[in-house]
Amino acid sequence: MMACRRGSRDDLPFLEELQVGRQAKPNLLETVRLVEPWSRPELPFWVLPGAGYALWDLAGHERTTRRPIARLWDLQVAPEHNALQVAAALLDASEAELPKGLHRLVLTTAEDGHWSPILASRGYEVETLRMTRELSHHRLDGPRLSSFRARPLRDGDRALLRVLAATNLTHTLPAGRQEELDQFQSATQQYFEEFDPMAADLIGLVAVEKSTRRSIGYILVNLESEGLAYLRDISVRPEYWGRYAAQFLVRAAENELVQRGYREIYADISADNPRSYRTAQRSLGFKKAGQLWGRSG
Amino acid sequence: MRESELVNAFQAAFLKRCPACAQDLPMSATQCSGCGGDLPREEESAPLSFLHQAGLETLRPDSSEGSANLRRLRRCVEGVHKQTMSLVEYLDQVGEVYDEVTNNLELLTSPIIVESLKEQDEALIAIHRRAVAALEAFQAGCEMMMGYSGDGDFSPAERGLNQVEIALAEVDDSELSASEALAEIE
Repeated sequence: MMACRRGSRDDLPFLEELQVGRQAKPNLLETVRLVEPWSRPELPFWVLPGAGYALWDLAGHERTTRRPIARLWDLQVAPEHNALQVAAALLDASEAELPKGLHRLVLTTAEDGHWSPILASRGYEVETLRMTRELSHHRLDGPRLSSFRARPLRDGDRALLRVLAATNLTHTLPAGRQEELDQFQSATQQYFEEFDPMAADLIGLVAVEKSTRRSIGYILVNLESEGLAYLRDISVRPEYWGRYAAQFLVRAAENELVQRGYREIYADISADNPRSYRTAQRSLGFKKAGQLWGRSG
Repeated sequence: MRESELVNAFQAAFLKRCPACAQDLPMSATQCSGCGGDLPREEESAPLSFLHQAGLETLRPDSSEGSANLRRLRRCVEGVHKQTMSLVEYLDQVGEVYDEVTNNLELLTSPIIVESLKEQDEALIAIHRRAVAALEAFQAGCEMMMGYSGDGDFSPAERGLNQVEIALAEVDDSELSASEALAEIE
């Protein structure tokens, strides 16, 4: 097998050839043409001529910690080649040249789930599970949900966010990264100190128990492009767990999203948190769409 | 609530950052666990204003008219007096302020903030105690206001508002004292 090499502009026809007929990321080729990764050091890619390519994005930051990360943007193998061998060669070639110290993240969907053994054998661990759900409108006046009401997040909720985020952080920490708890805690607290509850790309709601008028949880949803929304954070006071408060919050946020024309929401759940996974799947109607693998660089 | 988790969380609020590699470190660290470098001495003294840290800006009187929450509570009392506000609306509004103050108190009295204060100057510890007491009085004032039942006896609402006004003056005074104490320490 030929050796992998760093990609260049001359590889565009090969990238185009591999992209033809792909359904999962139909806009990727257009994006690649637009951003011209061969001229950007933050978008390095490696090619195994005639067999496949791996394209990385070094410009992003991890949402939670805001640390710079190396994200595998796309990995493709020509159908006539051994997918696992080519993927392994491309990952190894990338790894040899990617900057040290950057945490690596790779999202595998159902389409590319066959890369899993390659990732696992190279020290990657499933950190979070990617869950998605098509949005729909919900009634909130049923017997389980009617004891709560939702109100928009406001500046005075900073203390609530900080206390609840801190309380529940150990449940949301990506699997395999427990030793980074302090860094996650610090980043979370800093995030909420600088947080703008009125940001245009955010829906923030607080659930209030009607009988006590106490705020018992919150949900933060980032508005993305193309009708997509990201459930960034949801947290409920532990004494209200099992009382449908999370379901209420997700549904209230969904109603808001539907009203604004959004069609799909996705969330990342720690692979160490089976309780949240079950809640998302059974009570909230989310489906598993992929998994986010990570390893330290 | 798991106390240990909360402790970890608020410990993070008092972390310092390595100027060389941006690694987050405990306040007590003298050497970076990330890059191994020595930490500059001036980094060791944490600028600490717990009222600011706890996000209590909305409680502080920001002008002669008082804080946003105080103005809101005054409007509530005025509203029920003039019958321009229903009892439910009154209770919802006062309830929201009560909720906010309770959340702030929860943050301010979290074990890690209390623990961190043990390493601080005695003046700051005393100010923290005053601030907590003032917030508790504020909270109690809101509770008293929520005792108004719409029967024409406005005394719970008025007495509660009066308590809140006194408590807010104390919160403001605590914050001023904290600023002065910090300035002296620095």
